[in-house]
Amino acid sequence: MPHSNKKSNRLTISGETDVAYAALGAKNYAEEIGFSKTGQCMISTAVSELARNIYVYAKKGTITLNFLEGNSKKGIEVVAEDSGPGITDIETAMQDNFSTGSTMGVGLPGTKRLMDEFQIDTHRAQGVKVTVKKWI
Amino acid sequence: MKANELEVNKHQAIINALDKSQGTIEFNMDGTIITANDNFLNALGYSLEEVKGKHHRIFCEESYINSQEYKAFWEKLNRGKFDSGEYKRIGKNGREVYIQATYNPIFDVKGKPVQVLKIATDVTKQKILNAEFEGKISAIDKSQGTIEFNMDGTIITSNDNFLNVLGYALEEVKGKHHRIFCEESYANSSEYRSFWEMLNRGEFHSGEYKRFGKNGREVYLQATYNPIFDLNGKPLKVLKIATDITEQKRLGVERSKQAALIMEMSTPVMQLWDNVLLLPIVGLVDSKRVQLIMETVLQKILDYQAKVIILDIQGVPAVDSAVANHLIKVTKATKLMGCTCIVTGISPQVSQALVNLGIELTDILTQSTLKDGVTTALRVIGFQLTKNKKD
Repeated sequence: MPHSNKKSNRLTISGETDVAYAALGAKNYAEEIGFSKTGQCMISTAVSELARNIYVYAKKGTITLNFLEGNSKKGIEVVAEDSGPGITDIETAMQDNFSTGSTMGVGLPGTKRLMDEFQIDTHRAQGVKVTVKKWI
Repeated sequence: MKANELEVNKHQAIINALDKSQGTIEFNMDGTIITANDNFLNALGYSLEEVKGKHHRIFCEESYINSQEYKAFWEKLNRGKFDSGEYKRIGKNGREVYIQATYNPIFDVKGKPVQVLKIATDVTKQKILNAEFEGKISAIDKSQGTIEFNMDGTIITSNDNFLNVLGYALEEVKGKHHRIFCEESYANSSEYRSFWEMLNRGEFHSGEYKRFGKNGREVYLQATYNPIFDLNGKPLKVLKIATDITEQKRLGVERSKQAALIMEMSTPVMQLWDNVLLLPIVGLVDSKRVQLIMETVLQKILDYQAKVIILDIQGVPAVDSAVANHLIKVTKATKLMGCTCIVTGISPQVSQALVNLGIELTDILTQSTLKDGVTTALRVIGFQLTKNKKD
């Protein structure tokens, strides 16, 4: 397997430039794994959404890109973590066009549609942890 | 008689005071131990029984016992001469003990030395502390630039690291005032005066400082000015510890200049035709940039009396909801000015991502390629593109 030892990539989000940089980093990471142009674009867009959520709501956090290797399939895992105020109502947050931060409100539901697997961890003392996966 | 009694009492008092505060031990002239007080025994970790009758050498290192120096030490005491200083001694189980002590021969009526009384203070703790301080100081000295000033700002001394950064030799700066490192306007300012007043009040100062080396070379230092106090808490001198950050500073300035240049180049609104403008957007779009795009676009629409503006986003790597939101706002604003906005260059990948994201651009006139965008723009202002017929 050419990518079996591919290292994780951890990106710090603390400014708006970091949001764009994370999107770019995710695109390159996805390209190295072997995603198609469309796949790269979707992953990059999803990471951009997650990173922007961190920047807008928590100010500071991290995006970690991991290489996944399953039974004859490859993929990417993106973990977005912050220690901000958290999400009070997860069901509402997952609805389209809902936003408390004067954005379009498609971030979380949109990210879910862009990726194959979506998991949001709300049982945390503080902050939000979103884990998403996409397979080639 | 009464005076004599007083004298005896006084002697006894001195002995008691010594015994309470100091470690004492008595030796025969051959070096064997007669007795020792608790202070001394505690310092070396022995009981009296363990040392009584033993030779002084039980407190010494092997190499020292066999040395000429040790022989001379006892010969000197036997000649009736005292010895004082700091001694390294070995306590029970080989523990190293440092003592500050005097070895005093005691004479009989004929003036012959018969015993040696040693009075000692354990200085091991201070010794360890000093070694630690020296280590810390030498670590700072090796890695940082240091310079010391009198409270009036004159230079006492400086280490090589500091001198190298500023390009001076020690002789050139010693005795000179700190102001030789400063711009004249700063050295004459009230700010500079209050800087030294602050230090004289005993307050430290830290931050980034612009200073000047030999021949006016500009240098940036990350430094702290630390007042050093005497035992009464009065500032005695100022120790400055500094790191050269000139290169980092230069890079930082360069970066912000580059960022400003990139910003300037990022909104190249151009006139494509009468009343038709084109703005190709390349690279990442953040809120700062979109603000600039918005302002520039609206101003140019006014300047050129534009009826159509084409925003080409072919060069934008990812269009997330925030970027899309920004685009929608720009098109709405142009519409208010009576100008049609056409967004072109949405690649198949970007369009799929936008659909999945759930963003509808129904209000926006979009075209996949710039070519189509130009055609549409011309049609809006009443032109039509036709191919020449072949003769």
